[in-house]
Amino acid sequence: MSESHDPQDAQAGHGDVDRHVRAAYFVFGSLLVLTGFTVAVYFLHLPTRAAIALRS
Amino acid sequence: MSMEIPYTVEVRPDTGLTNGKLGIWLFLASEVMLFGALFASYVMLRVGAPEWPRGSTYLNIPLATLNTVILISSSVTMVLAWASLVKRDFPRFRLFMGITILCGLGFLLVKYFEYTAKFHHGYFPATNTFLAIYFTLTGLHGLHVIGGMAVNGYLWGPGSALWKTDPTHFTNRVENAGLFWHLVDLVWIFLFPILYLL
Repeated sequence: MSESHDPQDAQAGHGDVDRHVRAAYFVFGSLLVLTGFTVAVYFLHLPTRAAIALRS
Repeated sequence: MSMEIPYTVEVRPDTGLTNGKLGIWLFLASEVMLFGALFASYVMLRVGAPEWPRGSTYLNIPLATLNTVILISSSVTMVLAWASLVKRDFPRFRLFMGITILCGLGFLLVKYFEYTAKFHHGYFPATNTFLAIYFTLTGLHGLHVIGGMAVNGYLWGPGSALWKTDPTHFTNRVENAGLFWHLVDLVWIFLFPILYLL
């Protein structure tokens, strides 16, 4: 999130905000995929070494 | 007689931040230390234990996965709520902040079902070390969710009156509340694999 949200600067700020929103979507998507992957690996019941290698 | 608090809107020259943002970052630093100490305790307890149960022995992994999805989604809606204010769209802020609060409620509801199921099975903090650290960490995290929801609820409701008189100050408040909410989300991102999956 950016430092200033001065409404006077609204036009200039919008591009900055859109970048933050895009970053939030990217983080959301990444977390969703990684969570799904981690849970899937858990249910595979792999041996300890293989499980650590896959999760890291 | 009212006194104006400085640097709520404009950035303070020496710190480069508004006072509110500096305050929330210091608070978040203290929160990191609090949860860091508890995570370190978890590690010490676990490596010192002769045996440690798999998460699924006691915990419901599908429910916790659902809670993870709910919480990471709420972080996105929190950003969208803040972005709406920057774009001067107050109704959209109300919508996304409302969804964020509902996500928090959903998280707590799922946690309630998880806790009651454990109590039904006779699993309590005193049962064993795993459950003791589980209830401590998730309970403290749950309190943070409640705290975050209280702040978000205030900003959604009565606190939003500030939007009419000082929109930038209000936007900064929402941003600071968002930073706290992201921390709550981040802590859960660590709690979930550590307690449920590892």
